[in-house]
Amino acid sequence: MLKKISIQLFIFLLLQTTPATDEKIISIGNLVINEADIIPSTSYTTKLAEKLSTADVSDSIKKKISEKVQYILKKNKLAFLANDIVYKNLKKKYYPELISSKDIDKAKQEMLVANKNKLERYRLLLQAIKYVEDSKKQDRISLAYDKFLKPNSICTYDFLERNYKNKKFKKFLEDQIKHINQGQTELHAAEISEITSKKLEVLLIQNYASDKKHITEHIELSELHQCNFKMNIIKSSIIREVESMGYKLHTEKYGSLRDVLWPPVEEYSKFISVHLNLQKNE
Amino acid sequence: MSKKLLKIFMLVVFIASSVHVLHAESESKSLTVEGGTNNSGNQLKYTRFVNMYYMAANASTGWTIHSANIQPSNTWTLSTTLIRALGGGQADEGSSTAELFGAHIHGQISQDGGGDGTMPVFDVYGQHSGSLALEREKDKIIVGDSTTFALMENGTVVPDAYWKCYLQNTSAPAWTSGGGSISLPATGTTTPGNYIVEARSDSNNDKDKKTSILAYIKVNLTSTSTAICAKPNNTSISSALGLASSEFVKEIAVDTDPIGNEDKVVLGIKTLSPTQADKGSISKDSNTKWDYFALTESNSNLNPGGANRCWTITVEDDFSKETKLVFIKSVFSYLVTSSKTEKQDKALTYVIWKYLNLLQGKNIGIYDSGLSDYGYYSHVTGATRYGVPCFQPDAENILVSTILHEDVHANQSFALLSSASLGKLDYMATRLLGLVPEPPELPFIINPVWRPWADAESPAYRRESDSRNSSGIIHKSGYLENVVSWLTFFEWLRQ
Repeated sequence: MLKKISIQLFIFLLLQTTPATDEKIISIGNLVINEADIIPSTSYTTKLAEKLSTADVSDSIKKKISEKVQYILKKNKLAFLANDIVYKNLKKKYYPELISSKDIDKAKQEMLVANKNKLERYRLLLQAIKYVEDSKKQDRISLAYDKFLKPNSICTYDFLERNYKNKKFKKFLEDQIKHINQGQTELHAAEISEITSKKLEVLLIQNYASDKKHITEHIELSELHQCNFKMNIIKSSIIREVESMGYKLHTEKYGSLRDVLWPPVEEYSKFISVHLNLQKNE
Repeated sequence: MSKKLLKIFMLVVFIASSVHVLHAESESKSLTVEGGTNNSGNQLKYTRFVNMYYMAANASTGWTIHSANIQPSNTWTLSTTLIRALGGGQADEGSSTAELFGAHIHGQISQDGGGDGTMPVFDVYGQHSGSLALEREKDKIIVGDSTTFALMENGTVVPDAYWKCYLQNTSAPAWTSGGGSISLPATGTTTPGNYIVEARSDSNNDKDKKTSILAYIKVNLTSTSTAICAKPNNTSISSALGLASSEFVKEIAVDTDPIGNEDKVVLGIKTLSPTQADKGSISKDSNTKWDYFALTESNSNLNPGGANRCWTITVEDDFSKETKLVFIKSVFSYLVTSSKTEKQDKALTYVIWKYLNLLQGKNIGIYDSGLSDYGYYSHVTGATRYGVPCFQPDAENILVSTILHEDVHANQSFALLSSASLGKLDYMATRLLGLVPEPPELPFIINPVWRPWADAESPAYRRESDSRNSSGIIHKSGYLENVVSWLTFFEWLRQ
């Protein structure tokens, strides 16, 4: 009973801290990101409340943890959306210089090799899943694993045991096998995106350092001693590009443009693992 | 040893001064005596010495031998003087029955030199027919073994002898009878040391006693149990890794009880596990010190020393069959378990050298003692780090695979890695909230925010999987399966 009241009280507190959803956060060019775009889903909030309700800490601490986690999740989503806008704009701007048929051909060749291996792996996974489904033996998972997966190191036993009931996974395997067998030739969008992103960053550095010889020299050095100079140049270059696109921060609660684009992920990661892993030490 | 046949042996001249009376009483046997009542109280006796037998009939004072015969005549020879008839023969060692002689001396005797009288007195004499020698098969044997001792007479083993065998500086036991050839020490003797072996042919007399010393040896092979390092097949890399030549050598000390028998020890390599052509070598430094020189770890051996990354050599003494195990760690395993400064850096240097064909041109990071994961590439700092799991004794292949993995990230765009880290963070938060399972178990829901994480990780895990043979993780059961499971997990997230 007390636990139920505690959860209700906590959800109430969460709702009290939820900001208005129509609030603008940042405009880049003619695109706007609103608070509504980054607010965590109801399932997140509910689960967070459940998690904290059983934690042996004071309500004020629980409230702080909840606020911080939601803030992190929102900043995370904000950075994801903001970067997406920025990179799409930049790729649009520099598109002719970012893609070549040679790059595409190379990526396709790599994809064909990867598909060959993938096809075999998926085929065996599917066979194992079907075996488990059809067999009535008590040790059918073990038998399926030993017969189809273990000889080619397709996965761990746990992987099969935990995923064979996932109907979506079975359908995924079937679809992928069918797709590859049909002679898939188009690249994954992410692969094209990565090709262009890498070229874009090279271009951004070149543009930024075009009239600064010392930067070019320093970048070469930074490759050797693995400092963050190159990343800073990319960041600075992107900031300059965003400024030229025109942007406006409508609120200061998510920090500067730099903070919005590149939140301190490692710091957040540590916070979440420490504060949310309340019932299980890892 | 039985004697059935008696072989005629020479006995031509008997010279009183050369005669030694030997254990006549103990070997006395009654034989048929030819003659009258004058001799009924005198048993014919014979003397056995080694395998020679003698019998004699002496005339009493005032009597002379007229004539004498010994029977069977084909196995005995007889010589006579006026006062003595002396017969001699030799038992055949090939005989199979007891020493009963059907022989007897008979003849005529009288006081006047004529016949009619029966030989009155029988004496028994023995004669040295040759010198005794105590021969042995081996002078040094190991504890638990035995060797043959034989009391020899003119190159022939005596039929019976009396023996003693006891540890030097301990009380001598009583004589025990036995054959002329026996195995010593007695079965069950466990105490090593110098054993005195004594033999004689006379049960009561030490006059012909022979003595020998038998070294009954326990060999001890000792060495420290610490493993040595396999040799990289290039001396310059050994130097670069700070490996001294002494780190490739295992000293094996040899001592024996009783001391002074170390020269008998001959060490050799008996077994090597896991097997390979090069077993290393072993050589004698001195009687008390041998050196095993480590085998060479080939660059092409991606599973050096097997799963434990440690070879086991069994060194065996050919003399005693005593064995000693020597452990040889793979170079990588040796380095990471050594007390060397910056040992992880040295191990990293080694794999970069060993897997040059695979790692050439790849981004190489540094060891991070604070990193509990395998590897990490930070797009923020541009630094690559390899964690503690990569520097376990059996993690050579894992380190190589991790280098390949992180190299993929090091060549990915800042944009991808930035969004990937956001995606990972979001997934982690979602997992901690219990909305998704522990990877690589597949989540039922897929959030687009996670995709960049999968986009970044898929090619890295794919490279690990594709390089399984060249990195050697095919030998790391468990790790490879985990890598491929994660690959499938990320491919699932990318859909």
